[in-house]
Amino acid sequence: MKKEICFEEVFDAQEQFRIVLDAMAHPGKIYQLKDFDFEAPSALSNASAVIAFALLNADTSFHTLGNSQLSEYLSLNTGAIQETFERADFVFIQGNSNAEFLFRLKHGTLSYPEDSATLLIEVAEINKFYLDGCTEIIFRGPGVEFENRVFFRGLSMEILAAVKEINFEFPLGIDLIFCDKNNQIVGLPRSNNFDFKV
Amino acid sequence: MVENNKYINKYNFAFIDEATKKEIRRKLLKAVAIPGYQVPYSSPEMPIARGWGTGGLHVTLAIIGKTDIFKIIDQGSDASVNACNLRNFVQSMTGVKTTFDTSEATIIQTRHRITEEELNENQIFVYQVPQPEPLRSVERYENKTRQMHGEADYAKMWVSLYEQFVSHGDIMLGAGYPVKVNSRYIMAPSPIPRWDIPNLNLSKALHLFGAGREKRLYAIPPFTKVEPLEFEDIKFHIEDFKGSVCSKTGYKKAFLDEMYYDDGSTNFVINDSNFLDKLFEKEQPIQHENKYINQIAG
Amino acid sequence: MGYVAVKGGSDAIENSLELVEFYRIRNSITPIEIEQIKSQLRLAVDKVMGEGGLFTPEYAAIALKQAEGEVFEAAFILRAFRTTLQRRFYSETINTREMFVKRKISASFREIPGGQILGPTRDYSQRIMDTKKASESTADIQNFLQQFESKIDKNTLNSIKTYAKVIDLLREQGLLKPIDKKENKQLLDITREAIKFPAARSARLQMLARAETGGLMAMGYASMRGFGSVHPTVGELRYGSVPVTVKDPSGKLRYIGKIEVTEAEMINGTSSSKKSEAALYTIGYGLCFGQNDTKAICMGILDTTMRNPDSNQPANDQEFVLYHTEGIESMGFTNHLKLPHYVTFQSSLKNVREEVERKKEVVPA
Repeated sequence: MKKEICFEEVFDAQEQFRIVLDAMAHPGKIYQLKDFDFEAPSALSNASAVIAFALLNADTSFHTLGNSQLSEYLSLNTGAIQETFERADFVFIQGNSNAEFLFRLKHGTLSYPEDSATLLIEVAEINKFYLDGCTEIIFRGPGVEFENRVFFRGLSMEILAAVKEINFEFPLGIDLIFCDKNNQIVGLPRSNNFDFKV
Repeated sequence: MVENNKYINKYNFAFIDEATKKEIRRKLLKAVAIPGYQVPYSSPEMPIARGWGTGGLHVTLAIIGKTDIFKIIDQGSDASVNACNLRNFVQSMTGVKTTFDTSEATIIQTRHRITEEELNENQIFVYQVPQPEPLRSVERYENKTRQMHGEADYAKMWVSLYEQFVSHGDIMLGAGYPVKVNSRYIMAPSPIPRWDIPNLNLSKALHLFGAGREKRLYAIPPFTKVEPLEFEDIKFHIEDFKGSVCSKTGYKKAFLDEMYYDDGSTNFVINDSNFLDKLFEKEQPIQHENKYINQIAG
Repeated sequence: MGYVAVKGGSDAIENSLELVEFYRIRNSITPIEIEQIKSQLRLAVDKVMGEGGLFTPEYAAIALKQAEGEVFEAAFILRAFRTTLQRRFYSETINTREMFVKRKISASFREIPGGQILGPTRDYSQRIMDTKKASESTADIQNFLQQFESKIDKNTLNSIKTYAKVIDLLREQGLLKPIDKKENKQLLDITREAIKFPAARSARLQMLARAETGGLMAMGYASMRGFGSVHPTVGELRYGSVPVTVKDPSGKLRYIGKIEVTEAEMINGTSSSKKSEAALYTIGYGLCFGQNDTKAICMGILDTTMRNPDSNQPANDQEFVLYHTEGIESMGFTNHLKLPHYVTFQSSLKNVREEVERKKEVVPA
């Protein structure tokens, strides 16, 4: 289990955070994170690792759906605390994961809606253009000028249906970042009124 | 000669420690995901007094990087004393390039004005906020206002606005006019004049708000609906300068400062110092456009 | 771009800072030593540490010197300094029963275990101006110290004792009200997260511990005079040094030094609504850095008032007490009125002028 040293705590964290901030402020726009020479478990793409290193520390908690190798890696490298999925701040899942448990993630309270999970979803590929057999998400709402259409390979409709249902209770909800194998990310805040189809 | 190292201070890049930066960054992401909602944060002490811009500084210092170009204004002016003090602080803690030129800046921190010149998609506008709670004037208790926002129970606010109309013939709010964001949260835009309010609506830039003393962060993503509170029959309007013009440029479609001189004379000058400079130099800065400004003749 | 409409801000600041330095030193060439401030202005240093929220007499003394004695400003400097320091540990809870007691009194009982020890206090002095202090010499100080030390026989010293608490007596006799099971016992850190209301007791006590002494005094006084529900008795007031320990990464406890604190336990009577329940006593607790009786006592008063919320009583109102006794925030915001507000004012001018116009139309001159 490797403790990564190539991610610079001050400047890499700042630069990569700015990209994540842009992604959350412009849902449906595809952004590129920096490539690092990480030796992360296969369940964690470079992009997700970058986000974890940029945002997580001992004041945060995470959940990995039973992937103990990944949990160990994240604990070692960020100092973040492993938590149950009902209480975790950051949840790491694959795009084809079962979606049932999503309903139990913390989605905030009316007085404190920010006390809610951020979901990092690993997909195979994110593309601006049509991909065969992919899921398409149409983004509309704050951050989107008219609408943004993005194609995802390796993302189940089940997950999107669950998220849409959870976020219907806005301002309660969860916020998502999709990460692919090519360091690309797309943000989906709960404020977004998205639609999806195959 | 042994050098006395005891009192030598070394500061982290951007002054704030990395753990606090991460906390602010995580909270900013949530703020962006819930437009107009006030996220509580730790708001550590700064060498600048509370009420003098610590919140704006927290946001700027948590997001700023080596390649950013930083602009800071106070009441529209880059050279105002407090703007100078804060600019010196940010510059000495980060080494970033600073500028007076609105179009050149990537991060613009402001006390109580939005620039006349239009903002673009690559810019982040950071507001210093004295009172983040728009309902404070009608409800003094924090735990009650938090509940009101949670339940979107804004009746007290609407009643207060209506009462002002009944007593005074108009809604008497000047700077800091409350707005509704994304049709959900009522938000305090910081004490910017009414003139600037329409420029928040569907803006191309990201707007981040920091209230240090009250320990709250909030955000308006780009292209978000931001509507000043108004009634069917009592509409929002911007300040009316009644045709006054800027004595230096002859321009009338900008927010003007009223100036009084020793000889008893008065005149008006464009408030936004960089916009004034550009017009004076015959440059053509692109100004924010909105339905209220467009109604001004000439 | 050549022309700049507004300039001179930087110059003005530089000049004002130079003037500050000039005013600080122009009338006296002899620099005040930090040791002198620590020693002979000890109580100012204690106040600055208490309001700065950092136990460090040395840096508090430097802050006082830098601020020309302005305690708000010095506490602010110390708070800002505190933010730059790395946090390595949370200490174990300090145990004031382990205190090396320098002062220990109780108003509730005539005689207490270990006796009433007045210690270094001005309580029973007469506040007559001592003009001899104006001509104090090094010889005077040395003489006093020699005489003082000659009264101590170094061969017959007693070992240092620690003392049980007065409230322990009350507890043994079953006279203390049990703590409300519903009370929020969460241990928060208000320097790491914004306080949320209604606040847990740990958050309230932390805010009080860093609060400005004068603000607390006003609130405590108000409570005693009818703007709050509490007029307690001093169960015990202690001042002295307590050891501080932390757990090292292996879990072992390590002593890292000692700090000076003042502690107050204020006894309040209560009333009981249930016939079966006797009206037992509650304790209001106060603890602050250094020697500061006023602050500890008022903390104890307000700890009790805030446990009994009552929006008709300002001193019982958590938000009112905690927000407004926070010295650094209060000082900052009240003084921020000095910042230019001409845009805000211009906006309001428009509204008022227009209203005047409207009313003129209705009531012709």
